[in-house]
Amino acid sequence: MSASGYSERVAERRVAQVPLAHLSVEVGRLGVAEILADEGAARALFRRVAPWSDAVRASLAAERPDLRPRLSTCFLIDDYHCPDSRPQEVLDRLLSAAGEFDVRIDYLTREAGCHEADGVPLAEVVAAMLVPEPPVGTNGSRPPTHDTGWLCNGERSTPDRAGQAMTPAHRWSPPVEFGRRGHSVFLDVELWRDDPSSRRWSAAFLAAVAQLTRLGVLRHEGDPVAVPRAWPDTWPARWEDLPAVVRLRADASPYTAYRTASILPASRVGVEHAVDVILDHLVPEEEVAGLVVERARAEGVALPDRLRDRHTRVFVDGTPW
Amino acid sequence: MVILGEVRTGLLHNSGPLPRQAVADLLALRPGSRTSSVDRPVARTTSPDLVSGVDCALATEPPRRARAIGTVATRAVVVGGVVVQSSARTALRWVTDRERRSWSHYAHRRGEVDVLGAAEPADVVRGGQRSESPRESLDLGSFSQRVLTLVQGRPQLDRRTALRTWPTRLRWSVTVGRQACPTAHLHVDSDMRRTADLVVPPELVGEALRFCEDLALHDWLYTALDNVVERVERDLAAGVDPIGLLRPALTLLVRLWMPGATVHPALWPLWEGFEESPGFSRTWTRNVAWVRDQVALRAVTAGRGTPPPSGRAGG
Repeated sequence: MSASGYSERVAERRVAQVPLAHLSVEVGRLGVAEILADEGAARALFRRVAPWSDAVRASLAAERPDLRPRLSTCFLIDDYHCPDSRPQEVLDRLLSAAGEFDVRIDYLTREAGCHEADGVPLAEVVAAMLVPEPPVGTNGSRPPTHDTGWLCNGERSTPDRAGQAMTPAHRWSPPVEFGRRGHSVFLDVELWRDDPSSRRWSAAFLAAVAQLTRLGVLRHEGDPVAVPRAWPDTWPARWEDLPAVVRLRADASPYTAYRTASILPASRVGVEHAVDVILDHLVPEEEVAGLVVERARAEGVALPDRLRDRHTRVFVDGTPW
Repeated sequence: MVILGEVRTGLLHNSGPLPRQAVADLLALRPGSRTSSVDRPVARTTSPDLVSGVDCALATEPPRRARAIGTVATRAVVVGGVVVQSSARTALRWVTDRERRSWSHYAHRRGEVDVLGAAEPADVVRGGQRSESPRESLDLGSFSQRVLTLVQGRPQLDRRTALRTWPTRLRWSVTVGRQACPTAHLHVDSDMRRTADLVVPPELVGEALRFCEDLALHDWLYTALDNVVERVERDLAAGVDPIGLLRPALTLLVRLWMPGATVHPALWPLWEGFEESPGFSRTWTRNVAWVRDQVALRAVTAGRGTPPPSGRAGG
């Protein structure tokens, strides 16, 4: 082996570390419109979330009694589909309801911040990480089907076409879920829709982005994204003036965590199924994903390979008893 | 394990060498991901990988059932701000599955496919050497070509070239072997197509891609300069001033010749083998000297109104 060595600074890509808790618990999710429309919506949600929030803590303690758990909580608020509302009114209602039922919220995640955070187009960055499922027979000779904004977990059905003049007849074939157990549960997810002026991202896609940031596997050119910031003043007049992730408590454990749990209204089941399909189709940056795995190993925390397996969900009743 | 790949190499569609920052912008093919680059011994910038899914047959010889499911990773490389390469690859892992699994099993493994079926690794390597692959089999060349077209169409380029050249394609395979010494075989299939088959010890598998890209780069430079020499000879015979060919050949191509410079030292013996036969650098050096002679002769005879005498040293 040669005794001399050479290296260049530019040759090495640097990926920033982020602080990591053991578990990030999402203690509910509501839209701005839901909070505004129904004064009791936030209270009804937190009343149901509170016992499960304790249960999630207890479950971690039971699994790993040896751990001094670092656990943080967050609440995802949908301000993306209701940008003109005033944060003051919405957040006062939300946070006082949480306080009433002793549901601790360390961080507030803005759904619009999953679209763009601190000038970084997070949704686009995540869309570029998608590797859609190839239909059987995909060998590369044709360009991938046009970016339609849809993603599915199998092969779509082919329509029944009676043989018209000059065209061959096709028989209907059913959709197929790849990796199914027996029968298929086929899901086709709308990721975005292009308006003439802009692209509108779906709630499922933005929830997947939030999920990735919470798992600490998202970077922009190696830098951390959606870094939580405190908001010491009174709430601003516009949502967009708030950070993508607002730190509400100074003593909170890190926002990003090895594993995540979400306690959600049952109405979100569909969206969460879609989130899993999206996560299954993502290729995170190898270096970034590797960093998290290494850190977990060093701390003696087991980390499943698949992102979706790092996420636990509890669905609470949608309607009162 | 076997890795299959294809590298396409060509001249960047730009009137001059592209500055470093412009190259970085050119190769920023994925939002949020950085390009990586080294400056020495020659500026070399690599794009992030673009990843696509496949589920298709593999070409085998003799024909056997081999179904590949997984992903292909393609990246673009710019060398010296002048040459662009697009390089598609996938690593083959033999599995006993009978059916396709859920996509998450494949999606997070970048540039890897599972191989289902009876075909042996050697059948697949031989299948890759066939000049015509079955139409429905894995087509790495198309992945490579799409990325090449994508890069060449980007706004950082002015789409004017100082020198007319033709892209080359190198199809390659790397087989992991037990022997300590790597081996390589290069076959020139046609003017534009080559096949390289490598056998390397397991610890060098990760280095083989870089070696194949380096081989493709030098094979292209060699071919491009050889082509310049032929055209200059034709021009001289016809009494046409060939300076429009000589100058870009000297300014763009010559400084990029550094076989093995970006390759892991353990793979240098492979380059040394190619230097013996076919003797890449011997011919290259002779052609460079000849091009320089033509420029010098042209300067000497400038003003006399006659083109310099033709005649290429050696054969």
